[in-house]
Amino acid sequence: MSGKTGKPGSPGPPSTPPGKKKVKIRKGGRWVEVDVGGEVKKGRFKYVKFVDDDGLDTYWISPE
Amino acid sequence: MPFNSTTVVFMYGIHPSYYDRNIYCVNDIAASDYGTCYNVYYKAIFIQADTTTYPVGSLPCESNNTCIRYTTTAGFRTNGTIFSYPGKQGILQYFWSRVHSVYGIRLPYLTMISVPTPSRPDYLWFFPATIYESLSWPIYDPVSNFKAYLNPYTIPGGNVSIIRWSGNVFTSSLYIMTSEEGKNNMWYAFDMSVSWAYESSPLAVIPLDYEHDYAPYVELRSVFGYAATGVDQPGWNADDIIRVLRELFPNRAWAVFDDRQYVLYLYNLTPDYVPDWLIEKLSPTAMKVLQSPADAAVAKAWLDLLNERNAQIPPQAELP
Repeated sequence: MSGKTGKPGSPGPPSTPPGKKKVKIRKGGRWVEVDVGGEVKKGRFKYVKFVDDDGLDTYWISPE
Repeated sequence: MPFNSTTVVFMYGIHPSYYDRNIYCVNDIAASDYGTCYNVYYKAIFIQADTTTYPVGSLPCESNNTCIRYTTTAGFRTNGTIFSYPGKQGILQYFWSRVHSVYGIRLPYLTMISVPTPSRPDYLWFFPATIYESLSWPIYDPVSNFKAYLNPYTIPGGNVSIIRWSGNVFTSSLYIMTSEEGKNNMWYAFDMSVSWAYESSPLAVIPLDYEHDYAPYVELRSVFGYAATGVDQPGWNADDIIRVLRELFPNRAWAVFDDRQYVLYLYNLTPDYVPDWLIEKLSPTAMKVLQSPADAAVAKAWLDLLNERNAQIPPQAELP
């Protein structure tokens, strides 16, 4: 087994829409992948924007 | 981190990076430019109690916003509140001040830090015998590490005094006070830097006017303390701070820093308006927008006032 899933020619896992970036952030002690809706640089830090579980526009510090 | 430390610079007429050897304001009533202040950075102080000859607003420095005019004389004047932490301790660590004044041969116009006590709200802890010690310039008290100098540099008219102190005093409130000796028709300009520490806590980030915006509201006092910086305002619970600010200031911009989650909550703000120096100071892991600004002017007003109150920090880049 190669570990691959699906048959050759079948659509793969949902891909990021064009222009939509995913990034992993450290949240609640775990790595979480979020859809980035924008970025903002503040001082030395870069924050990525996404809508958090609480429904609020959230800017999370990005380790990248 | 058990404590945060902070510094605030007050500028009443004097720019912290330079000074003018000439007088700042004109108090010669025979002069054609009486009541004018020159080369001031923010506002100098002008005392003129005669409101019949000089009605409120009639002095040139009042109309062009280069002075704060008082219409009463005072022995000691309370110029402002540095911090007031109901139910919390601050630790005063350091201050210096520099005063230019037109009078002051016997007692220069001293800007002082006042540590109030229950029996003496205006108690000047650093000058146990004000008259005697202020006659003996320069002053150095090795016990308190208090230093004061008269005329460390010469100016054509008036006097300059510089005072410095470092040490540790626990207090829940601090005020700026000035010794004016009850004199009328005079001016002074000063700058002052004060450093203190307070226990690490959730913070309310909103520049307020102490007398009008903060002191009258018991709801505010019960959830966070006041500081002149508008930032170092510790409370107990971020949710309580947010609830009260929503109730009392629904149309203003403010932020609340949760020091447990390291989240900076923004109300009528977006990260674009958060200055870099605030990010450096708090280093939030996340910023969450509770409400976007319906009116950009509201957010800009918060930013401008915050920058003004923390003006020792270099200006930030322009907003996008």
